[in-house]
Amino acid sequence: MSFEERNTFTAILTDLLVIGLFVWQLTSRTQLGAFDGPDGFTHWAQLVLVMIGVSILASIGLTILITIAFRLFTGKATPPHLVDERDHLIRLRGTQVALLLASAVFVAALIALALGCSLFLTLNLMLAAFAVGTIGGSLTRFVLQRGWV
Amino acid sequence: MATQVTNTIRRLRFDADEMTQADLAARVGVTRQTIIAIEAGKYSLSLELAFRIADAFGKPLEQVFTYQRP
Repeated sequence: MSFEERNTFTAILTDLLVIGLFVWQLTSRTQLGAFDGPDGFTHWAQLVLVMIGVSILASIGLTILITIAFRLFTGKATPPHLVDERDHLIRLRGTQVALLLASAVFVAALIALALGCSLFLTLNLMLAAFAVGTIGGSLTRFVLQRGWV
Repeated sequence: MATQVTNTIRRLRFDADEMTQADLAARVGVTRQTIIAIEAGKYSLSLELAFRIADAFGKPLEQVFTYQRP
């Protein structure tokens, strides 16, 4: 596993963890009525900001854990910090897929709003656009790095 | 990322005292995964990297890479 592959693997795990936390927090707090009333959107924005902080910390923590796991399983300190031309091309493809997916879900959110869905659902869909784009981009990178396509 | 360019890298590695993919990767400054992808015809490499690989074997470019007309 190369340096870039390990980074992508870490990103996928972090994305899944953070998206899972987001979904869990949003659904549980919605059921409790935390986003009802005039301050609902304020609470929603505060939760999203807190979760962004959590995602940064989770990313750092998982990177450390995976570095330790890599050392335990392979006996090597870390893969060589080498990023070559193929890695750059794969990053570009991943970014293209991420932007495409995020844009598609963003437009879906706008269509939902235009069709009369609530602003709260639209905001959550816009948040989902970033989540779908991020995970889609990471998975694309991993598939290309492993040479499965 | 598949390519119309075929190559003889695998045979050249074998002829060069069974040079490993990791050895070649280190010589030309790329990852082993990139060498694997090039050998399998799954990656269209840059002209500069093609020259570096040919140079690593001490061969002219055309003895390492061949363009296959589609």
